[in-house]
Amino acid sequence: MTAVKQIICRLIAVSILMFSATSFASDNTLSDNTGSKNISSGNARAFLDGITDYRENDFAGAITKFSEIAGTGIKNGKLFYNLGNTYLKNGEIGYAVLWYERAMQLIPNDPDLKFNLEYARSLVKDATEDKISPVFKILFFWKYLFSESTVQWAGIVLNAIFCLFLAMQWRKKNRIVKTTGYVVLFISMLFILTAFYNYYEKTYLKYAVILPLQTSVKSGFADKSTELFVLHAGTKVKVDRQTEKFIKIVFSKGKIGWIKKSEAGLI
Amino acid sequence: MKRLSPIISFILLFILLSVLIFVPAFNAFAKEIEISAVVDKTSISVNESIDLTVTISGGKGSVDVSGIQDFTVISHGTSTRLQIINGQASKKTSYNYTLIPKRDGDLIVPPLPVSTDRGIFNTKVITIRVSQKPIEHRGGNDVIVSSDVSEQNPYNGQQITYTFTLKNAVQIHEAKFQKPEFSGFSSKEIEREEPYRTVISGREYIVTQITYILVPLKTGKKIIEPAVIECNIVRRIKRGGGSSFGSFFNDSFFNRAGLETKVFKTSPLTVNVKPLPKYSSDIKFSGLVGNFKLKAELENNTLCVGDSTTLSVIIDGTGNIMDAQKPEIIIPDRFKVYEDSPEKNITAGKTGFSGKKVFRFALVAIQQGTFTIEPVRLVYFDVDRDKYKTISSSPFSINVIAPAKKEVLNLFSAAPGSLEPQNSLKQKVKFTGRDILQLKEDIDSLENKKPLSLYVFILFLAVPMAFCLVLKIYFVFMPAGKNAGPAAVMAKRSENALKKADKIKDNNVSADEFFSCLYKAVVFSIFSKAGVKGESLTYKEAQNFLGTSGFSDETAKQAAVLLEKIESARYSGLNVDKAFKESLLAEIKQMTRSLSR
Repeated sequence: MTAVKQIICRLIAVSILMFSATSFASDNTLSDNTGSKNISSGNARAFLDGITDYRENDFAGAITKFSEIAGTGIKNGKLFYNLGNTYLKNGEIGYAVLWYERAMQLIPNDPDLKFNLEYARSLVKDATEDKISPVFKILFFWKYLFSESTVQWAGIVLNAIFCLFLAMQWRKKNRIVKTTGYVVLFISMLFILTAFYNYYEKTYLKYAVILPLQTSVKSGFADKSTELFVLHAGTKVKVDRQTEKFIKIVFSKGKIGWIKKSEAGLI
Repeated sequence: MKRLSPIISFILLFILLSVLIFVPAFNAFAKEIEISAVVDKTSISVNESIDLTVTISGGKGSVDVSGIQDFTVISHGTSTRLQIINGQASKKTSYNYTLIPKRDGDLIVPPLPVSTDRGIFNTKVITIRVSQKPIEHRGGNDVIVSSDVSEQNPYNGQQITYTFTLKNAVQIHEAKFQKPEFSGFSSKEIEREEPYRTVISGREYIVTQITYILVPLKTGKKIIEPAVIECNIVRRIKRGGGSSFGSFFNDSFFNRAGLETKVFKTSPLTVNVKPLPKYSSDIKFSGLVGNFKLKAELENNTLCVGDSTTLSVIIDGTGNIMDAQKPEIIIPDRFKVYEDSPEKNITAGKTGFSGKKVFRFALVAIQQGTFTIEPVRLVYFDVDRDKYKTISSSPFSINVIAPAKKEVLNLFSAAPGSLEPQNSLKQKVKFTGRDILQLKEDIDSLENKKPLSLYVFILFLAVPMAFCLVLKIYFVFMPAGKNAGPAAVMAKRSENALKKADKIKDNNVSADEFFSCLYKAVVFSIFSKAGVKGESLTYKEAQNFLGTSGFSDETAKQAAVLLEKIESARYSGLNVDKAFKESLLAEIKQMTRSLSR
């Protein structure tokens, strides 16, 4: 019997080690993709050129340079912020709000971004009709306070700490360790659940920004469809459905319609 | 500061309150003394009587009624009334008499000498008409109404007052007043004054007056229609009559009050409105009739080009001040003039409308130099002198200088001690321009900062959990080997001993072994907590081990008692039953559980 137990234990231990090794392998692969030192010289040159163009009021040139960098798949709040600035200076309010909104998902607490986005929103013609309740923002403040990455890493670290406390408790029972462990578990669960909600939101709750100066929201796809209402550049809408060429948008409760996909930028 | 005792505090408070209450009362005696004598009726038959009341206000004294010859005088004693209203005290002492006429005719109540501490005062003569025939008291002089105007021949536009007077010697209720039409006049009622009391021919009346200010609108003879007042007069209805108890029931105690509705009218009044005398002058007539003054004020005599100053023209007086128009003001054309709305402060009183009207003009200098504002003149009709009168203000000289240069911004450093808060209001900082903030030029803008994918996130969560799982399995399945610590070894041995005891508890043959297992279970558990290896313990040692391992004295004592119980059962040689074994086993399990926590 003892021999059977030992075999089982060793099998589990080996499988866990293999699992861990796989995890680290994945992590190493990830770090190849996200490594901060992997900045290509081409992107760096384009970035500096973009800044020079911006300073010389060549906003179209700056847009081209920054867009090239963004086109390589780099997701960086500061880069998106710069794109928002450049579009705003170029008079394209729709694109400016779009890039600012994209930056908000990555660096939601950046004061410069908040300031510029507020300014850009003040230029938008359409008044926002549905707003998130301030009570909701207070109750789930951490969701709006921390970026998606911060929430994820907070959940991971707190989860690790909780496991450590758990192991300590198994090794030697201690009331203080037990109480602290519960507290850590509670906080880690908040962050982990928020991180999962963020994934859900990103996958299923999509938002878009109107790009042209003015667009007609219609009852259907056809050109002869009835115009229901008009939206202007920079207005943020919720994406309800997407087809190949059209998207169904929800501006506010009761204001729903279809627009061409090219007329909105997905955040 | 030493505190006063409660008793002394109470006494001082009492004295203070007494002073506050009684000082005004003492002041009442310092006032002038007023004497009055009033009767309730001035016409009676020989079989009737009248009530005479002599009142001394503001003091006390004695009344000498020996001078009354035409009446039999019956005294009804005195009554005193002390009133304190708003700190003003008044004291009235009334001497009440009943006068029964000795004959018919015009009888006289002569001046009655009243002796007070301020000397002797006399009341006024009262004449009472006494007739042989019984008099029907229908209230002939109980209520008197009258009306009059302050001026019967006013000028057109001159304000006059119309006063309606109601005098009642009896109590009245629900008075309804209907004012005259005042056709040909504009009318305005002034605030009514409180009714007052007066004595007429020995009777006391309450006098109520209603006053209107009338301003004639047209010339000619105007008739002011009678004013009408309808009221209910309170009268006493006497009971009894022919019966033998009549005199008994005629006592005022048995009399009840009744209401008699009466309508009173004043006489119509005639007012002859005269036209204003013919006016011929270069200065325009203002249309004001009454008595007026004119004043003009200039805010600044020296100002820069572009600066403004205020010229105020004030017309003040009694008359149709509300009709005052902006007076003609000659202002040099080197000023821009901005007119403000006139400010009125007019009241209606017994003398008519009075007050002032202020006209303000903002003058903005547009050219430098010295300028003169001519006197402001006003022509009105003076009703006291029956002629037109011109009044004027003083001329003003204004020196307009070149505008000062723009202030140069000077920077000052705060002197020591000059950092106290200033009285100036703090200003909310406002945007003076709008723009976005600059680009972010850090090279880390090119780092990929995208969040973890869902799978990687789950993996990172799972890794620590997996390690925990491994650890748990290790603790569960790995036996306490040779290399294991003494605590783990002893804990495992305790657990094994307990399991064995549980197995053999039903076996009667192995009672000794059962108790041995229980003993080991407890002892090994105690060694486990102490972190040392061992085989046996005394009760005292067990207690000490647990005490030093952080367990409470009570737990340590319980463990020692339990060990003693096991050994007693083991070595007593008694045949223990199954229930005892199970009970003891349960106790040991509970103890080892509590020790393993």
